[in-house]
Amino acid sequence: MLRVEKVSTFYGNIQALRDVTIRARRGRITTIIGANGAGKTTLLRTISGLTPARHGLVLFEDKDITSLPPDRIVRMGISQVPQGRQIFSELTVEDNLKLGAYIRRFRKRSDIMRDKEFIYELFPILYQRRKQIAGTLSGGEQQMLAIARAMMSRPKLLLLDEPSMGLAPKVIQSIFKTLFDLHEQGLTILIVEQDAKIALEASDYGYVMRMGKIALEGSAKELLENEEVKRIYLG
Amino acid sequence: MLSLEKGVRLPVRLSERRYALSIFGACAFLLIIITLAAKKSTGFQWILSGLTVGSIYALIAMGFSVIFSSTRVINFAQGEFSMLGGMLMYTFNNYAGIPAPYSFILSVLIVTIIGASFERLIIHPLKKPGVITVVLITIGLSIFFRAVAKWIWGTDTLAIRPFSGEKPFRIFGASLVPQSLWIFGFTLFAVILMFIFFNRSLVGKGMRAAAENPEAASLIGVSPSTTSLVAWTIAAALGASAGIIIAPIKFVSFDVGVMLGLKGFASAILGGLGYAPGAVLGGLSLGVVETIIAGVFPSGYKDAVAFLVLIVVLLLRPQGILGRQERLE
Repeated sequence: MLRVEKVSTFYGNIQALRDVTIRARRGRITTIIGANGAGKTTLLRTISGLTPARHGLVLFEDKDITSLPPDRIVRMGISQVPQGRQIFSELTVEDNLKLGAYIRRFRKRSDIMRDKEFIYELFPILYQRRKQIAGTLSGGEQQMLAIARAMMSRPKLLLLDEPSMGLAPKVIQSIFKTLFDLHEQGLTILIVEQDAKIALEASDYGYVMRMGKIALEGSAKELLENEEVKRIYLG
Repeated sequence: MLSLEKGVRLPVRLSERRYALSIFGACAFLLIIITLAAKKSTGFQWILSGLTVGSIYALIAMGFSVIFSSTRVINFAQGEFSMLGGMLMYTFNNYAGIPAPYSFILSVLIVTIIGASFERLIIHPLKKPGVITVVLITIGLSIFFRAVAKWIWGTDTLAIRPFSGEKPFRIFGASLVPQSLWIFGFTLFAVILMFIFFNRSLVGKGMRAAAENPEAASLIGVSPSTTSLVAWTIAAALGASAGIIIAPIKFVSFDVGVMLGLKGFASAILGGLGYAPGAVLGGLSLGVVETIIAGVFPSGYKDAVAFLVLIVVLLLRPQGILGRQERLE
């Protein structure tokens, strides 16, 4: 579904990605693990068009999206839950969700209402907090809101950048459970995570990034059993 | 675990904002009381006249705010939109004899189209221009507009007929021209319209989202290019209508845009740049303070007040009364 072919991305003169090639297959959960600064976030930024690749190709459903602006890429069906959640902290929870459906603003209102109800069933806590200003939510609730907002655009592919960051283990568990539920309903997911164990356990396929390159890849099971991965990333 | 945090963590800056607002409110209240006590009906007259010009500053300041919050650009051609509005109104109404309401709509429409096409034809084609680049372009644009206006309309000061008569009426010993009522009414209407757009419509909310976090907004599909176009359109419409409704009181000439723009800019800074309610508050207060100063001191000092206010605000509270501190990236 998504193919990243030999992509190199730069911040000014600093090269952050070197010839990165990955695939995210339809209906699967794919995980990219790696240490801080390995280029994981940059890879997602490149896919979403925030920092476009200088060399290489990004193909989504066989269409070249390498140099499209972010809003066009969302419209094609790729939604990202960015690092640090980036919810609109001055708007209400409900407004954040409505904005998630921004690209569908010309569609029927009832469709969007139905999706909102679906989201509230998925995250009942957000329903309780729907009138609250999003900045007053706890970290876990904000992460749920960020995922919910991304889902409101009805993506075919969901990108998540470190959904576990700064959260308690119990909250992380519940978020991954929700992601798994969404996956079972047919959503394709690409996760970038430092918490390698929980991410790999939930996924089908994985990549290990190091210094802007793909160092290792394989099925999630293989990676979980790989000695090197165990030593460095699973502790 | 989650329920413990129910709505307790209000952002600190909100209370800070309230603090600034209450200090400001106290100062304003004191000033008004002193003025009314010392000068009775003359004082009331100043306040009414102050609110009249203040409304105009508020409209122009909102134009600055809208463009700044969505693109981080200060549009130094904002005052020229007002000048063009007034000039076109003169042409349509006094010269061509088109009835005032139609002239008004026509003038605002034309200036709005000029504003929008400027964004599309000059700013939009630039690939990721720096903020300073665009600011310099707007300065160039303002010089261009002034030159064209001078060429078309000459250097004379032109008078526009008030919308409904010139006979002032009296309230509590002060006199008020009917045009002032038009100005109050229109400003209120514009503020309500802006409120509905930014708080009720999805496009407006998207613009607020983009002002808060441009990257996150682009990830939900808010296009920065559309946001910028809408902002310029709104700013041009606000500027033009401000220039038209004030023209019957203050007259219009090719160079009125400079002062109107600078006053509007000072108001936007005073209230908190990038925050529309701040622009209204800043505009009204600047108008009142300016008129009172002009009443007490020789009126030549009047224009200096705006800039004194600007300097004091930038020194004491650079984010303005209602503004919030910029996040460092």
